[in-house]
Amino acid sequence: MAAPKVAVVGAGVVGLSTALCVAETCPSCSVMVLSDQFSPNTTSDVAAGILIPHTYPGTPIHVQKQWFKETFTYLFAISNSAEASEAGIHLVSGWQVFKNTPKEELPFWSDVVLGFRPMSEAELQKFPQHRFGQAFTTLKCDCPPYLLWLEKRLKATGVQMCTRKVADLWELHSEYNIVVNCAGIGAHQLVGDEKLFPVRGQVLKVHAPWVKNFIRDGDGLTYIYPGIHRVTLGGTREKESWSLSPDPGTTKDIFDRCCSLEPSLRGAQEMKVKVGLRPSRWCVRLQREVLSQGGVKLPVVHNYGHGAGGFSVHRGTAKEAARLVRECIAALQGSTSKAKL
Amino acid sequence: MRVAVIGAGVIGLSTALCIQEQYHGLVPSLEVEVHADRCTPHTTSDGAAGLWQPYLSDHGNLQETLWNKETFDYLLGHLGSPAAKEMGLFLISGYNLFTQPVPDPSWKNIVLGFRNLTPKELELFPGYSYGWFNTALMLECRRYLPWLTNRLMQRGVKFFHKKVESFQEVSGDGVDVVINCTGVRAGELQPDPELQPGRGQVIKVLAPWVKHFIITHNIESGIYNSPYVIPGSEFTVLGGIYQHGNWNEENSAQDHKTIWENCCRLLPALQKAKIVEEWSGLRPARPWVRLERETLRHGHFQAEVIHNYGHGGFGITSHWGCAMAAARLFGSILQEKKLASPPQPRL
Repeated sequence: MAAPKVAVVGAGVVGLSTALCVAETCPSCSVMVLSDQFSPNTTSDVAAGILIPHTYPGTPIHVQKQWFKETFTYLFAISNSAEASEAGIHLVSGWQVFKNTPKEELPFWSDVVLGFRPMSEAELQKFPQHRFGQAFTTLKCDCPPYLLWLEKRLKATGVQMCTRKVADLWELHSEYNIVVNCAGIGAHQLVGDEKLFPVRGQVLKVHAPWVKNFIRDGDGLTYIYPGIHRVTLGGTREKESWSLSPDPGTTKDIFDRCCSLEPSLRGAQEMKVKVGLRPSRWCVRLQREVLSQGGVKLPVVHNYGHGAGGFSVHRGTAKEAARLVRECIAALQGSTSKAKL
Repeated sequence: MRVAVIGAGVIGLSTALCIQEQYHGLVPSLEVEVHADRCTPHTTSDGAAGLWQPYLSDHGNLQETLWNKETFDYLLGHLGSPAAKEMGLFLISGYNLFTQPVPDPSWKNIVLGFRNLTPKELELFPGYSYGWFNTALMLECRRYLPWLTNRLMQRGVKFFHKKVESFQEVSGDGVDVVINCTGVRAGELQPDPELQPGRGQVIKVLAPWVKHFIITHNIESGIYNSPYVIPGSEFTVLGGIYQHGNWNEENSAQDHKTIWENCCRLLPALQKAKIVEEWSGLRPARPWVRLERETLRHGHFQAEVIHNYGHGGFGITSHWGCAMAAARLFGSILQEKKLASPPQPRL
C-alpha cells in the first residue's frame, strides 16, 4: 500500500496526540483529523489537564503505569524546553489531602511524579479538616495552548484537520483505509458503546495568580489547579448526567469547597464556569476492530473511554494506538482483498 | 511621647506598626510618626521579589535565625486571613540548586516540607548536582508596604515626606525616641563603615507558567551572584547580581546580559518571556544587623535612638522578628522613663 489514508475521528487531547503519533511512526501515511469540535470547544478544553492518574478498574495497573510514565516523560521534556510556554506545559507542586487516611498510602504512580512524599505535620496544619496528605510535583497541560500546539505540530507534519461531524464510522470507508476512533464521549452515539457513560464535571476558571500550588482532596471532588493564566476550581462527578449547562448552585458549592481549602480564593476574580462530560468506561477501549459490509472491510482502531484520566495517559495510549494502526497497515498489505487507493 | 521612625521601607513601616500596636494602650500620649524621603513604590523593599529565604548560613548568628523564624511564623499565621491577598502574601514552593553537596541551612525546619532533590528533579537543571526543595512564602512589598501604610494611617500615624539630614533635626523637634530604619543610607546620619551597598539588578518579565522559585548558588561567586527566578503574583523576577560596594542605582547593560543569559540557560522557556521592567537597588549589607539602642548626647539634650538597619538581602525575611525586637527595646526605654509597666513577656 503506497500511502495508507488514515482518518482520526476526534480532536481532543486523545485525537490530536494519536494523530501525531501515527504521523510520527508512519511517515508514509496520509493522516486527516476529522471532528465536529476543535479547541477551544472540546472536552479537553474544560479539564485542568493535571497529570494525576485516574485508576481504570478494568485495565491492568502495570499498563496504566506504563501509559502514565510515557506521558509524563514526554511532557517533562517539553516543559524543560524553549517550547514549554507555547505548548502550555508547566511543572506544578502541591498537596493531595485526605480527611481519612487512604487504604493505599502509595498510589501506583507515586514514583513517576517528582518528589512524592507524605506531608509533614507542619504542612498539614494548613488543612485542619484533613489528617493525612501527600506532597509532590507534577505537570499540567493547559488548554487551549496544548491542543493548539498539537495542531501546529500536526500541520507541520502534513496532517490536515477538517471540521466534519462523522455520524457513522462506516461513512469513511470509501475515502480512508484505516479509521482511528478518538471520539471520546461521542463514541456513545458514534459506535453505540453502551459501556461508555458520561461523568459530568463542572469547573470554575478564575483569575488568582497568587495561587502557585495545587491542592486536591483525595476524594477527587474538590481541587485547585493553577494554570498559566487561570486557576481551575473543581468539581463534580455526576454519573450519567448529559447536561452541558452550568448549574449555579453547583458553582457556589464548588467555590465554597475550594475556599475552605484555600481561603485566599475569596479574592479571586473573573470567574468563568465550564462543563465537560468525562468519557468514562470501566477500561479504556484501546483495540482493533474490523468493520465489514458486503465484502468491504474497514479496519478501525479504537482509542476512547479515558474518563477522568485523559491527560494523564494520553501519550501512552496514543503510542499504543499508533502501534495498532501499524498492525492494521501490515494486515492490509498482507491481505488478499483488493487494495484501495 | 513622640516616636519618629526614619525610613518607610519594610523595616521602617513594620517597626512603626509593631510599636504603635503594642504600646498605644500602655502609653496614652504615644504619637508615632514616619519620616522618609522615599515611599512605596520607590523603596529598596519594593524592588525585591519578596521571597522569604535567609542566606545559606547564619554564621552562628542565632539571633538572626530567631528573627527569621518569628517572621515566617507570623506570616504563616496570616495566610488564611482575608488580608493575605491585600498584603501580597502567599505560599510558594521551589528549588535551591548547588554544584556540590552542602550542609542543610539553619532554616530547614522553619520552612515547610524541606527535602533534598531527587535525581530526576536534578535532570531539570543541568550543571547542578545537588539541591533542596521546600515551600516558603512570598511577601510582595508593592502590596505589603501600602497595606502597612494603610494600617498605620488608620491608627493615626502621621507621615512626613522629606529627607532627614540628622538625628538632631528630628530629636531637637520634640521627638523622644528616634527609630533609625534608614537602610543602605544609614551612614548619612551616622558613619558606619560596616554598612555597604550590595547592589542588585533584576529584570521583571511576564512568565506566568513559572510556578516555582529557582535559586542557584555558586560558592565562588557568592550569594545572589548566581541566577535566580522568582515568580510573583504578576511578574516573574529574574536576578543574580550582588556587587559589594557599588552605589550605582542605574541599570547596567552588562548586568542585564548576565541575568538574561544565565536565567534563560536555567529555564529555556524564559526566552519567550516578555520583559516588562528593569530595576536596580542597593541591599543594605552589613556583617550583622544593627539592632540596638544608642543614647546620643549633644550638649544639654539627649536623644534615644533605636537602630534597626543593615538587613542586606534578607530584610523581608527578618522584618517582623526585628520589628518585635525593636519594640522590646522601645519598651525598655519606656521603663527607664517610668512611662509604662514592665512589658509582658513576648516570644
